[in-house]
Amino acid sequence: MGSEHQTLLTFILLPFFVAAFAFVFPNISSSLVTLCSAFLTFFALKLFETQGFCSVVGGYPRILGIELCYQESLFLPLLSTQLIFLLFSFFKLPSPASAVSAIMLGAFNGVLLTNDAFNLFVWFEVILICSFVLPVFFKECNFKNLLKFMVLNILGSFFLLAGVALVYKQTGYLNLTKIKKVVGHLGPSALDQAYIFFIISFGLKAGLIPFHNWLGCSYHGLDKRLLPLFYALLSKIGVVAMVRVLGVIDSPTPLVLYIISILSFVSILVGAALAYFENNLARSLAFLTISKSGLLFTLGLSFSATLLYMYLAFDMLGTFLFSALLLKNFEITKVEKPALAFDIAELFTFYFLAFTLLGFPVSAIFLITFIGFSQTEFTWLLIVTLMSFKLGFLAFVFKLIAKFSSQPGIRKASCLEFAVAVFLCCYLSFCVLRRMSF
Amino acid sequence: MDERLILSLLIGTLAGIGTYLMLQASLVRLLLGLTILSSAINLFVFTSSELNKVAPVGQISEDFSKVADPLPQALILTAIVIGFGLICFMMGIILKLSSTSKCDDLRLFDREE
Repeated sequence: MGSEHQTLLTFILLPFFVAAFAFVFPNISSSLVTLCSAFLTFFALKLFETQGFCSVVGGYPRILGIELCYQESLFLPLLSTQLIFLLFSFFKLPSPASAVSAIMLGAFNGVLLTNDAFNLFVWFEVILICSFVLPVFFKECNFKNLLKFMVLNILGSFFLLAGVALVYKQTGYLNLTKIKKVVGHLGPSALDQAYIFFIISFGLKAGLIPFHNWLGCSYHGLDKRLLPLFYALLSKIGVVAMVRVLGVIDSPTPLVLYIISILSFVSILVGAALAYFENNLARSLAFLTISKSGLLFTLGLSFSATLLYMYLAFDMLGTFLFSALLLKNFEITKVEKPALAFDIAELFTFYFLAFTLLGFPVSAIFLITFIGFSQTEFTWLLIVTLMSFKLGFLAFVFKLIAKFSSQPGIRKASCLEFAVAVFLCCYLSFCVLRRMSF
Repeated sequence: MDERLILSLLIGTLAGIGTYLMLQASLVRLLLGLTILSSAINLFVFTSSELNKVAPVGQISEDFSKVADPLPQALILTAIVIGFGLICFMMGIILKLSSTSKCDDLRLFDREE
């Protein structure tokens, strides 16, 4: 128990210590963060096939102490997060930015490992503060866009805090395991009001439609080196938190189900359409994030958290590599032709994209919710959905290739994305073959 | 008058004022609005427990149902600290923006773009 406890705490404390050292020794800050990320990647690998366990910081009783929990399903997201920060540390960053990125890593690990609703809020705030501070260290920083980003995310945090307060009011606990036990006696609709607050909060953070207004313009004003991290992690962590919070009740009430379904449905379609018609690359990728968040919310609602985390891990890594390569090789602004000018081939690509993005997950939800699919059919349906989504994404990549001429960077990026898609398909097939319980 | 009703009215009023100020085009009003809204949310957290008047520490009470719940108070303290940090950083950004543009009107920023 002691070593397990230290393992979980290392994921959070080590980045903070490294950040402190990085501030003191700015010359070696980048190397320190690289070392820290590499060490934590190794540490995450050590957790492979480890049974889930919980530990309370300081050994206090659960109601007083901060509980950290590792579940087997969290292995891949945890590993992906460390890997992304490891790759990010190789970017040429100003020294304070490296230190802040280490704090951000600790906070991301905190969100993944904490088992306490209020700590979830605190880690979210730490991530937010880091995301506000990071752009300031770069020369290319649009302060007006940063202000919009800040105001809307702070509003999201207010809703999150209000949601946490409502959960405490209804259940008397903040520990997610305890809440799950109490909600069983209260009934599934006891937390409906809190969930509305959570949906608004995480919707704002993930940029779901109609809370997406800040995303396009805010990301447009940031440095190119920062954007891959923001695309890959910042908007996805809202989905993780939502799934964790939704997981405390066995099945959400129809009200919550309908709200998330409709928001996800609209986000998938509108996000893809906005991404397609946008000529600015940074904005286009930001709108694509909306679409992906919609898909992830849908998956989180329809399937078990294990599958969602698995997909999320690959998606985070794929998005990071894809957007990093794309942004490295391209100018962000491309305005050679009007936004709405498209030919038949592009229209076909758009329909293909919209169909694959929209059709499968939404039909999956309805099949599961209203017809009641069995677990095996579920699994196969999910695999088809994920493959279709990756296919749809590749359609978008091909559309980008057609649009932005024959630059080598985009080819590398599309190959990389394709490789991640193939790897995901292989991994899922492997899991099905091993009859892994989803 | 019931304490809960007074608190509810106070939260509603503060949230209303905060939202109204945030919808103004002035940067300073935006900042004030956020601060007031944050106070409203903190009060909302405060109402998540029973409004008992007996302090949880330093007094001996046989009836635990009359003792105030210390957890929401601790949560509010944490939220205030985090909120303070965020507001300070935002003040810095606003200062930078207004010193660059020599105004605090958000509509003028839009026109400049």
